Amino acid sequence: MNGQAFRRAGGQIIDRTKPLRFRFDGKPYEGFAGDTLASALMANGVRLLGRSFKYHRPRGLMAIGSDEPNALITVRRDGNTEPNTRATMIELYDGLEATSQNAWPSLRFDLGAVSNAVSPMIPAGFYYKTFMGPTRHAWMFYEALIRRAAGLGFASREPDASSYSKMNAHAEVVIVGAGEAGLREAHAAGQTGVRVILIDEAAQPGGWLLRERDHSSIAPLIAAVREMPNVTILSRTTAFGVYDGLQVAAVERIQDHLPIVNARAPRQRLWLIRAQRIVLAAGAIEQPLLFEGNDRPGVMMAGAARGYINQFGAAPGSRVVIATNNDTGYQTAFDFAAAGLPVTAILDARDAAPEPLADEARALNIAVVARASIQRTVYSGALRGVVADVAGKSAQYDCDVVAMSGGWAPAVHLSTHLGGKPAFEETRGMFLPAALPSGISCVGAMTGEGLPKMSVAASSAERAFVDFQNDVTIKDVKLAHREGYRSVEHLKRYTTLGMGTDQGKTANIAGLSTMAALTGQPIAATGTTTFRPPYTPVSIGALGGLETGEHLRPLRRTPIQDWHEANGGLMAVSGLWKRPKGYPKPGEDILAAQIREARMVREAVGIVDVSTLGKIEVQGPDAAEFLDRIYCSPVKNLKIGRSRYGVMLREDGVVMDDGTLARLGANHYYVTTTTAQAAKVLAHMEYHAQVTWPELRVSIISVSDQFGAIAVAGPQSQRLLARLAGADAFDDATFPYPSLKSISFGGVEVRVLRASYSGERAYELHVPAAYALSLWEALLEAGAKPYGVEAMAILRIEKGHVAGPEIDGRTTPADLGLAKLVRMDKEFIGRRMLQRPGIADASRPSLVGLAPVDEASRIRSGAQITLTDVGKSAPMIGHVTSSCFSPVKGHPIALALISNAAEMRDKIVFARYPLRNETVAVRVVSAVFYDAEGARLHV
Amino acid sequence: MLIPCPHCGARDHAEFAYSGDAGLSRPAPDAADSVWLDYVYQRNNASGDHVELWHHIYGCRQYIAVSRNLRTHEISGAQFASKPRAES
Amino acid sequence: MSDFRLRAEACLGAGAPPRSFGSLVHITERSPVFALEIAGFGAPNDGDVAHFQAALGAAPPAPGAVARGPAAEVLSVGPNRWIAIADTPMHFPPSENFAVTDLSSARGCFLLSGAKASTVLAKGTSVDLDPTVFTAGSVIVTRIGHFSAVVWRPSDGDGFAVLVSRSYARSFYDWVILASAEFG
Repeated sequence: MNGQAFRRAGGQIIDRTKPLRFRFDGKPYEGFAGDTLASALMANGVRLLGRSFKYHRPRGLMAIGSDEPNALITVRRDGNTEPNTRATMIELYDGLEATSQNAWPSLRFDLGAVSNAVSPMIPAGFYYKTFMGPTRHAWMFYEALIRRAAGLGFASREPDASSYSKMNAHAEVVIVGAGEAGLREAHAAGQTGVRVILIDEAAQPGGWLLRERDHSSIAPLIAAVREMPNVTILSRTTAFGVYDGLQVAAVERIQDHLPIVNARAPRQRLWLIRAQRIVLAAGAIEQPLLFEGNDRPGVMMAGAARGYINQFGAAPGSRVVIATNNDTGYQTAFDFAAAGLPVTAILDARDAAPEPLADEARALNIAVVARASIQRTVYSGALRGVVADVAGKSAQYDCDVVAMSGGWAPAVHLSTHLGGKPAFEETRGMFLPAALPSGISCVGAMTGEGLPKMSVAASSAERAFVDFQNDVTIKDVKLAHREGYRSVEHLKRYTTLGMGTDQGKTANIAGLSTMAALTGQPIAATGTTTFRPPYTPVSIGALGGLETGEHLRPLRRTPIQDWHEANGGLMAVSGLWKRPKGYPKPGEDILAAQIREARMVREAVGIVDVSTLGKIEVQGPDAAEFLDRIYCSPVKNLKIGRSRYGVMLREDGVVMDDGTLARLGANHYYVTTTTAQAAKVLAHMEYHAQVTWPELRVSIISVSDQFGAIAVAGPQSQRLLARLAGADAFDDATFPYPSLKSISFGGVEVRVLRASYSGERAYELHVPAAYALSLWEALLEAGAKPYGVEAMAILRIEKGHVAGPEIDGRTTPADLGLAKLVRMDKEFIGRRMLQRPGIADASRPSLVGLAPVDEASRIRSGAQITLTDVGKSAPMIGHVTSSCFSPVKGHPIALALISNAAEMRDKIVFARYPLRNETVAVRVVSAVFYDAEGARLHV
Repeated sequence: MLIPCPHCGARDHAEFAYSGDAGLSRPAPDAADSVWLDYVYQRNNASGDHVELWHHIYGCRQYIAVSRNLRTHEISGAQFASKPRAES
Repeated sequence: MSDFRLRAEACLGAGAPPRSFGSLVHITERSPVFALEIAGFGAPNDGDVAHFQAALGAAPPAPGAVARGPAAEVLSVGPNRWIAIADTPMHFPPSENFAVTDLSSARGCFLLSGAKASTVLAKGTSVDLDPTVFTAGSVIVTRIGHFSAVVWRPSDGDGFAVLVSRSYARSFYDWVILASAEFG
């Protein structure tokens, strides 16, 4: 290997005493500390870095910063392989392993490049025209093939082993860009003593000044800003979005440049910074010239080319042609000459070469040619030269590098995120930030300061690339124009111009000017596209921050959860909770366990953790009035110490939730909600207390976390509890069904509700959560055994009690057989909408029970109910909401919602489950399968 | 987006739950059907100024009536939805 | 059997000892802790203030403020809503202008201290914790990660006291451990 043959003297950023080894496509190379992957590959003479998106054309480096459209690289690391990173932004570290993308079997010999040869067949809109409309089915077939051929790198299928973090920060002034303008702004703001955050995407502040041959002039300013304790400089940090309330979102690459990753520290950190004032100093982005083959490896931006020489001592080639339409191209020529690299010519598109720059060039023996523009490149395996039009005549120039400058476009992106609209400044030929939201200002090159006048000459070269990353050529823009896609938004969508991961940083202006030339309209009238966050791609991991894996959602725990987990509870996720489905014994499956547990409750006693229930205290002089309006069932006449079942509706008359209401005092109620609706019911009550009836003096406080709850159910429940708190406390005369009583258990006052979900005699013990585990253990010691939520479901289905599957956001009280609870003689939420005639229509699905005709047949929840068992299109009259095997019946049972329920009683219908191709004949029966008269409550 | 909660001060919108149009007032029980229909189902899709409810669920749990321009997201004012309740 | 005594468990049970990350972050659960929520039906009058003061040793603090009595810290958590925190049980005599609710079992209280304590919290909350903004004697109710939390600067020493709902306490504690990991 001919190590670093293109490394030259100079290179202010690299440290030649620290060589680093790295691999690109498996081949070993060497670079220096301070290099980027791009500069190290350049120093090693590697020109071909990737294949293009659509045509698989060979591509090399185009730029030097985050605007690079071509050199998309996959960086491979243990536990973190990242595709589509720009070689220009990858800092070299020892052992770096990078591969090219979108080429198979290899970068040099890429079979996909055959599409380059046939590219006339794949113009803009090709896929849509070919595969949409009548041939849509063809698209289904070809999509996978096309996606494989056209595309970027592949995302790793491994879990990301890195950790990420998120940080909220606050600063009076946030400055984006640490070039000269940003540094000056930071220094000035810093002197006022306020908090300043200066964000910059490079490894060190300085911006473009670091790419000058001598950047020592900026060092004192950098040092002065660094010394200010109130100024925070975030390097390697890209501000990618500006959001409402003057918030800057940025991603900091903390460890991507390190050879060995500290697993405890985050790889990247998302910064969300609130500012009083945002100053954008994002600089400008050099734009390409349009000529055939302007995408060939070796053709690059003039500013980038000299940056590689000055910053890294890396030579883009051995002989350069400068093509420019502005003065900045001349600096590139001078820097090449200073590095001892021959400059064939400066081709200046303008009518006259500028003095004294042209003189200076001639003094260095550089030919300066005015009215010269490149027509095409000469390329065979490598760039050999260019053919230019010089004042109407054709001339050829030898070179292996073309350094082009189509002018500099202010990087207006961040100025538009909050609605700023860049304005086209005709005299300067560029879009400048305008209509800025208050609190945002722009400084430096971003405002056009120090930039040459832009003039993008339209080109007629069909195969001149406008968008390098998305392979959009002038021909595609012409096609869009011909087919009527002339608005810039249509142009973008039709050709995909500017829709790559680089968001057209080097493409939009060229595309816009080309369209403007075609329509004969000025650029200002052609428009500009809206830039949206992110400015550069952001990894999903950074956006997720810490909230990933087990922290994706919070996990709520009941005070008894540790016990369930340690004692054979089979835990299942239930909303934010985990609850025991049951407690299978060795050799027992969950189905057997739940049947055993349900029988235990019917025959003896069982205990279940119902701490997940929502619990709310409603207090105040108007508490009774308030709850009376919230529940459709009666509230006001509830006596102190008594409890009852309650139902609340949404304003549209649909059932929202059910639960128990208990009156603790004249102005004090304790109500429970279902587990799933707890948060919603709390918000619903708060809404009506604050918004609908603010005149009511009422306080609503969630005590869901204050109380653990244990249901003790079964004919032996009373005896069990008497053992713990004395028989007197549970005397039916003083503690009838349904009521609430405060009873002392082991020195702690427990709210005991006589309520039953199972249909058996039962008690709910609402105990301060700190004591819940201790009470649970005391109950076990007294002889109780636990049951899980599956047994609880069996018990309630046997009783026909409705739950979540029936209270599904569509059912009214009448649909659920609860019409008798509704008190139309009072005002309550949902009352008026219950009076709609359609609500009472018999065809509304309402609650029934189902029993299989063949008792061995299982009925599945979700099955469709039909009148006949034949034909695909047998009309559906309802669906199964809940089902189980019923231990008391000895066969499967189900609850269902069906139309015309009353007249369907005792008829045979069919429960169809197409996913398993099952049809079960079922009889429509009462929804209450067990103890219809409610005698078991008192056994 | 920053929502100026009258109790807690300016807070990120991630602390709030959007709770609909603040301009609604619940009709009298005997109001006309059309009035009830509007209250329950009809919502304006406003372009520009709008007063809306944000429930400060991660904060003071108050419903805040926020005057917000839906085109610019500019917030011009905020007050407790329960106006009769005075701040102590 | 009726002579048994129920035992109180800390929020995290026995499984979560105090943790330190270098000398930069320390987290401990404050236990036992007693909490009362007091809600006024409207702004308190002079008599209400006197009643409040007699019960808790401090007048109701203004929005965003902490009042300190001899035994209790009183935190403003909403308009006319306060939470009183103490190491021993409190008694707030009934009053027709206040709703009083015992939340002693409902909340876990954590103390975070160390030079990076505010950095750890800033990973989860968007409120400015800078000591010049979030001053001693102030309290916020905010969102930390997924959690609703009351945060204030405790009277004894540096750092932050954080109140979260009991059922979320373990998840919150695990989140703090995760957020602190990079510091040791």
